[in-house]
Amino acid sequence: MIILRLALKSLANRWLTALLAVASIALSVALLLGVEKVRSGARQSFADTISGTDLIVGARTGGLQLLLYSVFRIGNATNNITWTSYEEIARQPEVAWAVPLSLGDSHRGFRVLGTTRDYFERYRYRRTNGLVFAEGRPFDDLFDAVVGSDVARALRYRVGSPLVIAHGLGSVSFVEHEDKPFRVVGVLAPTGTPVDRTVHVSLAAIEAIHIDWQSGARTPGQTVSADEARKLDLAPKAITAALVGLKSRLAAFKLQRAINDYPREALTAILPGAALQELWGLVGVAETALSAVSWMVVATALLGLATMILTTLNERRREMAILRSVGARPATVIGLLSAEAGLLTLAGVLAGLALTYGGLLVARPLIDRLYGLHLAIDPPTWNEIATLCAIVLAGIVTGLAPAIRAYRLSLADGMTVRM
Amino acid sequence: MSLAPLIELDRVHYRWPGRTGFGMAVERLRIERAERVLLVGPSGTGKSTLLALIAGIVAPHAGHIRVLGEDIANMRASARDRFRAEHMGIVFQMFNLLPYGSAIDNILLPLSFAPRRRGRIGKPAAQVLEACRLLTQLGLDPASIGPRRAAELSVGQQQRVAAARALIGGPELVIADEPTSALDPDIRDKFLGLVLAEIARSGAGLLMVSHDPALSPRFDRVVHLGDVVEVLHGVAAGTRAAPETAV
Repeated sequence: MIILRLALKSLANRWLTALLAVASIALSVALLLGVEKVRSGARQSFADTISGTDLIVGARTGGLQLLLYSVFRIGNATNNITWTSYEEIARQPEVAWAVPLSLGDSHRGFRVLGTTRDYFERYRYRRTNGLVFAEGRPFDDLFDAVVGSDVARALRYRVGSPLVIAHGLGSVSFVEHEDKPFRVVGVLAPTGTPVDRTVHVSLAAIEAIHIDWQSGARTPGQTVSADEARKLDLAPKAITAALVGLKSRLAAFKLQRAINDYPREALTAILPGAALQELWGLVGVAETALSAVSWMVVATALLGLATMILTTLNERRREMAILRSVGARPATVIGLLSAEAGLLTLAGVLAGLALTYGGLLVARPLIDRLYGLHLAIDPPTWNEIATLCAIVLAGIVTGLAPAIRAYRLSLADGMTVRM
Repeated sequence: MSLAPLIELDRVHYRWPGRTGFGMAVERLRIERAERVLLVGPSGTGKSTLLALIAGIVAPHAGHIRVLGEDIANMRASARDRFRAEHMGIVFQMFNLLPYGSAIDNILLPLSFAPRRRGRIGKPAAQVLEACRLLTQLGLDPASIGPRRAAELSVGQQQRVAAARALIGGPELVIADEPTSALDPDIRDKFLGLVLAEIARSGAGLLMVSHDPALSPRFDRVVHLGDVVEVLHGVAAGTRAAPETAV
């Protein structure tokens, strides 16, 4: 149809401004989708970090704090729980398994986790995935260590590499347990969880390196060599936290209450999911702010589109008068103008989608490496599709306003276009 | 067989939108079929509004405007648009063409809104041939002018392309609003001669507005705007002030 061809030619004539409008819409859509992807990716990543664990037990503290330091290695424990308490909890009839966690040391910026071999069996992420050894095996000897994939990559560790654990958690440490060097016996496959950035050793090893220490400093004149340490009783006296699996999830609340009311020691037990909900509540404000900003960017892009259309309005009044003179109905003319806006917005939205997915494809390995954030590349959700349709609709409405104004002017113009 | 006149205005009243108090009235105006009428008068006396009323681009608030016997004043806006597309060709003072389209596209544009005019010519290929014939008739070379973008044409060429657009498919009425005012005198005379020749061929009537009385010998009749249009000042709602004849 000749009129559509003319409309396209008119658009082609303004290709540069049109392209800029499309680009700004594309960028704003990419930002909107990107924020959403990172948001849901972060949530998913957090939620996926701990699966199959019914309760996390630690010293009396906030539920969120316990979750953060025990699973995400964020922050520090305020207190430990005694080994006896741990053993008593592990003995409860509802408990299927329990894995102790002992934190507090580090190795060149990576946290060191003292645990048992059960950890490699019981730890689950992304619902059902278990830990897999890319190389080597779980620790066996007192001074064996298993490193996460990020640790191995960053420090170029392989099976057999020696490592020295530092006391405390700084990335540069001046106090090292250099008298008791470890040896890497296993490297874990990447998981996209904090496990990748953790050095795992046995609980006994944590005891051994601290045997000649008291209150965070080496006891003067009292050194115990690595070989001597092997002969000592290395049964742990305290741990930081414990992951607990139950025979039936129905027992979770009951056991949680029992642990929280444990008479001999002040303890906290949390359900990981509930603590995560608490976390979402906390970061929800920031998320809302972020998404409000991206919506404002979308609005700005649409305003840019309206500006572009408005600046061509004088030209359009002539077009309108000509089309009206040859018998085009106002609806046809208004339709043409808003179709143009709709078309540009649609192009912008599609380009924005391409930009988002292209960007995700390129940035995903980088984000995974830098932040340990595993972003899923899924097709857009219905929610996102609805959002994008709303943007296209808003684009059409954006074009409608100048079009109706042009039509009003054309009525006043009659046959002569006065400018 | 007596045909209805080409144009017949009967006690037409119109108020400009947004400018309350200003209006115009036409008691009576009649133009016969195939008649060539020159409408002269100074600017500001409602020339363009009269043309817009006859073309059906605006509707009067009272009275009848019959074109080919049909009262377009009583038609719905969309019916008026269709009627205009089928029966009228319009040439403006300037800016007649969509600048991005080729000359041929511009000439063929009215046919997309006028099935009967399209039907008179035939298939798309025939339509293009007819557009080329009109270009030739109006003194332009279709091979060089036809495919060129309208924006690249000179003003004189643009006016001829606009005339070809008004004439394609043989509408009964051609309305021209000072089509020669942007042209040099010698180009103007040539343009007018070519348009009048083509109108004579197709049997259309021509209503042309101009402030240039020198053109009058080439028309059947000259109508002075002041004789037919009353410009009304200070028309408040419901009351009517003393009419003042435009000079």
